[in-house]
Amino acid sequence: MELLLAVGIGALFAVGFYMLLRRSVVRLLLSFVCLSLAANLTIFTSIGLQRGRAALARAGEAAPEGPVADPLAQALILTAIVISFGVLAFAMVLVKRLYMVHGTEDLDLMEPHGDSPEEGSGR
Amino acid sequence: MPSLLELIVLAAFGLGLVVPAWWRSLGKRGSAWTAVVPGGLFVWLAAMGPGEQTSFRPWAPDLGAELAFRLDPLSWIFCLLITGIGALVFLYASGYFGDDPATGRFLSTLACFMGAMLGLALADNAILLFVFWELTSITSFLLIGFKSAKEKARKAAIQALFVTGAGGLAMLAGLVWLGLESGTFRLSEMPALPAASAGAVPILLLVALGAFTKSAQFPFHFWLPGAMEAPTPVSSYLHSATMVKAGVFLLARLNPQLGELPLWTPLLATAGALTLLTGGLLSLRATDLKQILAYSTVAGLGALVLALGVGGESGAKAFAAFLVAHALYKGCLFMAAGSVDHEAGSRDVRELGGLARLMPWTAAGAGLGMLSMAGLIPFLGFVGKEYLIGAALKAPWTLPAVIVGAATAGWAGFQTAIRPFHMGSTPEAGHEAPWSMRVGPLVLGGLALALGLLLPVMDAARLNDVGAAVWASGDTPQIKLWAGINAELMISLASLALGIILFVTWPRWQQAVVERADRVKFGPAEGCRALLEVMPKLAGFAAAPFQQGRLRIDLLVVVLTATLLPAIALLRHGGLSGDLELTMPLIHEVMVVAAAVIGAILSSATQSRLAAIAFLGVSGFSTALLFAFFGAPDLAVTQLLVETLAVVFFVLVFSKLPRFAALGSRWVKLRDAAIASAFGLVMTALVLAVLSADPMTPVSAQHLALSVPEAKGANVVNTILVDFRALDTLGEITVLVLAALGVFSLLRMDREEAEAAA
Amino acid sequence: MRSILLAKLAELLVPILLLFSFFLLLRGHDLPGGGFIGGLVASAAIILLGLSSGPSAVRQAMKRPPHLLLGWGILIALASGLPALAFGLPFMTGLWSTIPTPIGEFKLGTPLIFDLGVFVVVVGVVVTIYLEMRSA
Repeated sequence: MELLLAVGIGALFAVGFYMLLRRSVVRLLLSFVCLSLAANLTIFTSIGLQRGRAALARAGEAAPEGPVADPLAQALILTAIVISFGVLAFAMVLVKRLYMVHGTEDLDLMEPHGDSPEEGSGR
Repeated sequence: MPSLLELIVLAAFGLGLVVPAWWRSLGKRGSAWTAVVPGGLFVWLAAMGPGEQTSFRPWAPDLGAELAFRLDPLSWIFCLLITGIGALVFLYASGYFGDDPATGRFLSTLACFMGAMLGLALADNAILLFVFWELTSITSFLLIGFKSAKEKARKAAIQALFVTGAGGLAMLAGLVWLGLESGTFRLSEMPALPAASAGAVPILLLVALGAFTKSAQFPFHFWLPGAMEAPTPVSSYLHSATMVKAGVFLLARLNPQLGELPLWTPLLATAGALTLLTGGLLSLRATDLKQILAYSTVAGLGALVLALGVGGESGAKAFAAFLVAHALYKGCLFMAAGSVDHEAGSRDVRELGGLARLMPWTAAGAGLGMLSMAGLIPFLGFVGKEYLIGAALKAPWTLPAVIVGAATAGWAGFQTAIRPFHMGSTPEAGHEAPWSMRVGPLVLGGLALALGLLLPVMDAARLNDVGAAVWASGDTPQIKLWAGINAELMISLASLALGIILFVTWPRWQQAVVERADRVKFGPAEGCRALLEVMPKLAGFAAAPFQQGRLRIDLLVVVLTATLLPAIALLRHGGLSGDLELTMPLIHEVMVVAAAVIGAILSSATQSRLAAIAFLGVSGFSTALLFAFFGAPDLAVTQLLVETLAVVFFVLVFSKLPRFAALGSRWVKLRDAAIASAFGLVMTALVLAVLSADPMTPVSAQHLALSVPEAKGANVVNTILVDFRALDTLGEITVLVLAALGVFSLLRMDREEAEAAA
Repeated sequence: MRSILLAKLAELLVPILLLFSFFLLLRGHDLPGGGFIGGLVASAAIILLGLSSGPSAVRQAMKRPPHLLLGWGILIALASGLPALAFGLPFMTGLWSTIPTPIGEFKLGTPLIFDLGVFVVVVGVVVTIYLEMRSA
């Protein structure tokens, strides 16, 4: 299973980076989502997989019994998911604005910088 | 409950906190009342006397940092100067700013500075002292650049921060080293540093670097005249009476620890004498009232360092007497100069004249300050000058510097208090400054006279105790107003005569000196500016090969680095040689992983925007399922919800845009796919390498054991989030808030632009 | 193009979802749930209202501008750390007490208040972003 997930993570990273290298800015957003998934799965897998055992103590137990999935990694990933969601929303708006200002989603047409309308408007 | 000493510091910061609201509700009248806080502190401190008091509170014991405060004669006199002159400056600022809407912000920053300065004076812990030290640098930066629309003010602020900040870093290193050598960070418990110890010389040099930059010693003196861009209340408070004396204070504070080192006297006396000479001579070329006073402040600070360097009884006496004398007359003259600027609209001595008839009160205050600065008996300035010459006689090679300093100080006093007021013709328009701006110069000038007059009867400013605190020999020096007819008096009179000659002949030589000085285009200030210009260029030069300003090329460099470095590391450590315990995947797990990967691949291939989002959604939901399979229900639910909301947002923002354009040639796509695949391969190897590494006891073992008994929660993931690592979570929700604010302001900006265009 | 079916469904679902989100928040300390998840469910409910009845319905239902929640959430989370200081404990030390109620004992603690802060922040963030995107 670890091997399978490791290969899956590698594939997600590869696709994510492939999209990152495209000229379309909207693709950058998709790549951001894909890379977040891959990164979260990397942490999740590297810490060791435990099938079906959540880090929950049953009623009356002083601690979750037996081997359970690592809760610290989960806490890390949980906030990572929510934060990357917030950042994604910000990035969407940023990309949208970039698109509106330049009238294109092609990164190559946005360069060369310096004579963009942004600078002219004194911002 | 906070202790008395903590209350003093807190009161000042508290004032900073409430002052904006205070000012908004009361306006101009309110700003004058702010002086009550420092005034009250002054009265309290004065009534309390310089008797020793301490307060202690643990802060970060492992780092040696503690909230330790201590009141002794040295910190007492500094606190009195800070609060006393502070009260007058707050009052003065209320008149100076009038109804200016920025007044609230100004007074707030000023109050924070006061708190930082009080903390600095009272700190008994080296780390705490550094914290307050940096706070004074930052508030000083904000105040110098207060008129932030002026480029000159911004540049001066950056320059001052650059110089004092760099010095502060050196000082921190010195203080930490000193703390480690002495085994304690409590200043009052540090023993004298043995000259033979390995750190002796570097510690002294590092601490001195901090002190010299802060107190504008040669060759770091240039930032102080630049800082005159600040509003005058700031110049009179920070840049003459208090903050610039922080460096001198530090040296006096560490005199017991470092004063016996053989390097101490040569280093401090030389730096002090050079600064005295530089400041005195450079003041001669200035025609701006504030510039004249700024250069003479540089000289005054040099004199204090010189006194500390000479040390012993004469040095201690000179330090104590001149410290107070200088603060009083310089604060007085700065305020008077600010009033002249405020009412007559100019600070150039060449344009001013005859103001005494229009501004009699200001002229009188300035006159008192001038007499003290020139060193006339019975002013406190006379006492300070007398003992300073006495200290210089102990190190005779510094005598010329002291004579030049005393003469130019006299000249500067006459130049700022006689020429604008009593010479030349009275302008037709103009009037006296408001009462709030008259009080400061009069009170400070009056004090300079009163303290001197009282000296034979009583030591009102406890100068003898201050001297004893600096001297550190256990004895108390006796400071007198009249020490008889001696060499000091003769030299003092001679320098006074020299000052008068300079003043009288000024109209004859000023043009030549000023013009020639204007042509000089090199010096430490230019060096600093060049350094500031060169550094970004150097950084740009170093980054140019890797960052060419084309996003994808830059990214390629990043990806290749991120691929090659881990690959090399993996190969050098023998690849995946460790034991890898693998479990067999179950059929539904295989399907979910496959769905995640296929979703991502399809999403990268499709031309339709909505399809791409939907395909990536498949990957997201598959990930959620994987979380659910492997004991992470919280993650599964979160991932599912986020995935759903993200799709809603995507559709909201991008549904109206056209399909993806097919960009890039087949060759480029192949190249990118190859690089990306290589990176994916390295990541796969990395995950396997981590899994095959030696197992360590995970940190979470503790969380699992303590969750129910300590954090009262059965869901360990949640107890980590809201209890064990709650502070981290606080930081994370703050990031979320920032992201939302970013969206908010970006879209509002869009809408306002659209409305403006319509 | 607003569907009546969706609107009716939302009318039914939104209160249930909101109630469920509070339930998730409260039980999060012992079972899957908590501030992040509860907050996401609550915001999903509010967005559902927005999708079915339009953003103005959301604004009306929220009464106050949702971006105020951003500050309130952080303040609540910060405030949850203060009681510990009164007992001389480090900032954010969890304090608990049990309140007996007719339906059994109810645990109340400062970490729960912290989680409430997280909940409020998440709702504020998602709803603010949604409304701004809608009106852009």
